[in-house]
This record gives sequence, C-alpha cells and structure tokens, in this order.
Amino acid sequence: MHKSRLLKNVKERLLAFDRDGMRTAINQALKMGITPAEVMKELKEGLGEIGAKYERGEYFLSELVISGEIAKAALDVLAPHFGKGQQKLGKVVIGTVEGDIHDIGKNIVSTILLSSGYEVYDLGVDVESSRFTTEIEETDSGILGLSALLTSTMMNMKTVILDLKRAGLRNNVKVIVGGAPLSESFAKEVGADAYVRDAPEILKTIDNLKEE
Amino acid sequence: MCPRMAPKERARTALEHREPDRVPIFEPWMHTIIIEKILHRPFAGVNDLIDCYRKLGIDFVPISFGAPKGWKPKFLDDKVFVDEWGRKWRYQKGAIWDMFGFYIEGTIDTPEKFDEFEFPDPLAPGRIDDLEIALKAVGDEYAVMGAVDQGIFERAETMVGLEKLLVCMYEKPSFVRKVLEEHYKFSLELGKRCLDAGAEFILIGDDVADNHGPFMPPRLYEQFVHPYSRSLVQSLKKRGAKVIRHTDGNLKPIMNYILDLGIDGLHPIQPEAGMDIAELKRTYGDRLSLVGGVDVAKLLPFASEDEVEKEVIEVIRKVSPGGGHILASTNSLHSFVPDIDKFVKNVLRYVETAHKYGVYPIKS
Repeated sequence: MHKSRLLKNVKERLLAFDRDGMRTAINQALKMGITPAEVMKELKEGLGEIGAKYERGEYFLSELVISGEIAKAALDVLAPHFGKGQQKLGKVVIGTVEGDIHDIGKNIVSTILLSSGYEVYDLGVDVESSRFTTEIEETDSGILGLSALLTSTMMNMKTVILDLKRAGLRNNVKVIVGGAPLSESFAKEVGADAYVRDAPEILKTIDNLKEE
Repeated sequence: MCPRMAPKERARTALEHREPDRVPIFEPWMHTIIIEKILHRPFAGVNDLIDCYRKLGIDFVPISFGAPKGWKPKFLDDKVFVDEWGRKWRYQKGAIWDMFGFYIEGTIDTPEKFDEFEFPDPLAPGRIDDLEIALKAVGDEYAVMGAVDQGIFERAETMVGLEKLLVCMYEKPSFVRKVLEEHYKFSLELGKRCLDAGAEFILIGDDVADNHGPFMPPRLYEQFVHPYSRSLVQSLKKRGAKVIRHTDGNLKPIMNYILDLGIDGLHPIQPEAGMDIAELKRTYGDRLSLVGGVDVAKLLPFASEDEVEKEVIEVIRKVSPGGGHILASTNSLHSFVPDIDKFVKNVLRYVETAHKYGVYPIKS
C-alpha cells in the first residue's frame, strides 16, 4: 500500500472510532517504514477535525471521549517505536485547582495534548497551588493548564498564578485556564495568558501563544 | 390582590398551562447550609427542609429518596466513602442530598463487576421515610414531590464513570443497555412507591447534557437513553403523576426527544447553556411548562439584591403570562458560591419579588 494511503488509513480509523482497526493500521504503517512522527501528525490532524466538529456543534462529548481513547490506544502501539531523543512539542503541567474535583474537560485536554505529541504531567484534581509550582520547576514545563468548574474554586487559579510569580517562574510559563464558569475577562483578571472555552481549542490556543 | 390558591393547586394549575393566582416557585434541592441560614438553627433533618420551603413560600416540596434503614456508607479513610452504588464521594458537611459531598468516581466500571454487584433495592424499608413525613405534614396543602434523583442515565454514569460509559456506548453497547435497564427498573419501582404513598408530583432529576450539548449525539441518545427515560415518565403519568424533569445543559439538539417524554415541566433551563426560557415558552409553551428563569450561575451569587429583583420581575413579565411558568433557580440552591450570606440574601429577595410581582393577571 502506498505511504499516503497507509497514513490516511490511520486518520480514518480514528474518525471511525475503531480501536482494533487503529492498531492494525499503525502496525501496517510502521512495517512499511512510516515513522512514528508521521503517524502522530496524522493523529493530530484527525483530533483537530473532531475538535472542529465539536466546536461547530456537530459532535458531542462522547465523540471527544471515544476519539481520545482511540488516540491513546494508538500511542500505546507507537510508544516502543519512538527513538531516543524523540522530539516532543513541549511540556505541559495540567490539573484541576484546589477544592474542585471535576475532571472531564481536563482529561480531554490532557488526552488531546498527549496524542498530539506533548509531554503531559497531569496532576489530577483538587491540586494544591504549591504542587503546580513544584511540578513546573521539576519538569521544566513551559505550559500550565488550570481547570475549575465551580465559581467557588475558580479564584484559586489566581493563587496559583501569584505563587508562580513568587517562585520567579511566571515568565517561563504560559498559563492557560478553562472551565464552564470562566470567561476571557476572568482569565485576564486572574493574570492568565489564555482562556480555552472548549477542550478541543487547546492546540490552537497553544499555537497562538507560541507565535506571540 | 391576595393569593387565593393553596400551593398545591397553584403548582398543578401552572403545570396544566393555566394561570394560577400567582406564579408558583420551585427549588429542587437546597444545601443544608442555606436551610440553616434561612431558619437560623442547625439542620436536623426533613422537618427543617419542609419548614424552610414553607418559610420561603415555595410551593413545591421535593423530597429525595433515602438510603435503606440502617445502611451506613463505607468510609475508605476519614473523608472518602463509598455509597450504595459503589460510587466514591468525598464527604462534605451539609452537602446536597443529606450527606453526599463531592462525587469522585464510579467503581462498578466493567461488565464483570456489574454482574457481581448486588443492585440496591428500591423498595427497601427507609427509602421514602422522609417523603412520608412530608406528605403527612404538608401533603394536603403543598405540592410534595417524590424525587427520583439521578433518574437513569445520571446514576448509571456516576456508577460506571461518565467517560467509561460513553466509550462503552461504542464498544460494549449491551453492557450500557444492561446498566441503564437496571437503573430504569430501580427508578420506576421507586417512583411507583412514591405515588402509592400519596405523592401526586414526581421530580425526575437526570442530567444528560452539559453547556455544550447532550453528552452523546442524538442518534445514541435515541438508541440508549430515550426509550428508558420515556417509559419511566409514561408509566408514572399513567398512574396520575405530574412529572417535572430536571436536566442540566443545552438540550436543543435533543429537544424533540424531551418533548416526546410527555413530562409536564422542564427544569432548570440554563441560560449559560444557550437555553432561553422566553424562547422555549414561545416555541413549546403549549406542550411543556417551563420551570426556571432565575440565574444561579451569575445573578444569585454575584448581583446586588436590587439587580435580583429587577431580573425576577423581567422574567415574570416575559415568561409567566398565560401560565405554564414556574419560577425556579437555574439549577438548585447550592453552596458552591464565594459568599454564602450574599447568596442567601439574594435568594430571599428572589422569592419576595416572586410573591409581590408574580400575582396574576400579569401583563407582558
């Protein structure tokens, strides 16, 4: 099979939410000399298409979740084939702020980033401010994603950003915030660099920040 | 003009799309911290909930079902416990539903675990003790409701885990059906039990959407969720119940199915999810009573009391004429707000305004 056809097949299996088909497609592609990076590019494009459909209201949460699962399964097949020094797109620390245990939006963002070639450090839910700072320092991550679903916890994002400043890390990190009760103006108010309305916007948002 | 109707008659009239003496008020769930602030005493159980509804002048008295008599949650540590459905929660004093705090995760997440799981008994002694107390205390006067909380999909998804249940819709459809069917049977038996005890109104809480839209595309909603949801409503309606269905989120993509349920009222109609109560009244007001209109995301936690009054008057003028409108917050009177005292003051102003300006006839 021609290389472009094999790669197209990877994306098609993602769009068809076909876990077994995806494993076969990737194994076939690797066998024919296609690199993991080329497969990743295809996955990223596929996830981008699904995200765009979600943003247009054509797709729903279940489609984001199942495609994320299929992409994760794809990564499992690819993992042993990544060479040493495989270039990652960047490092991201992500978590739901203290007092809040909602995690679906955060999990989807995490999966999209992982499947698109980012190194993701997901700290989970109800994360104390100091843990974000420590993780950023230890992993030397350039991006921090903060999530909250409650109006009573979203102000904790400000605490995290202030703690980053105190630790002298604020200029090294782009802070992206997301969650149902948030808005652009809230993101500005707490001193974040960007606001993500819906999880699939994350890749575009990071690309925009990189261009700045 | 003095209101003439009893709360129960007022509630029934509005659910039948007619104009009562004044717009009724409904609040499905109240955090015990809010009850304490309103009653100025520590919360001690269902009688305080009833007193709170009466003190506020709220026409509906929804009563959640309880755990079986003698049932105790299994605490995994000093904060985390597992409930009857194998769900993990973090204890939070005074949370909605008696003692429940923050939901953490479901643990019955595979077909094998589900098959081994002993499903809770809807008719276990103790389930509707609180409802029976409420019916006896105020059932002649108020619209006491048997609340079938987390109906079918929501209890199923919290038991399995939302993401896992959604994935299984694609990869293990028979497992999803089995889980939904068990929750359907539980809710149906519980609902029937509430009616047998004398409740004439049923509240089915069952979130199937978030602000973006339903959790699944309409075709999967139709395949998996709708048949059970519809059958539950229809069976209870056949026994004479008036049914209000609560589901968060943007329901526009599945509005035809919501109408097909045959419910009397829809709550909470969240503006932040793009649900416009005035528009819904214009489009579906002849088939569905709209229950909502008082924004609990931005207005009640953050606005001034005068702003609350202005907003409540506006929604009454826009939505109440002709009947078929029940005033309610756009979710519940919860405690997840930055300033609880401010929130309670605004809640008091909202109900005062409803009593003052919600008297019919109302001109738009």
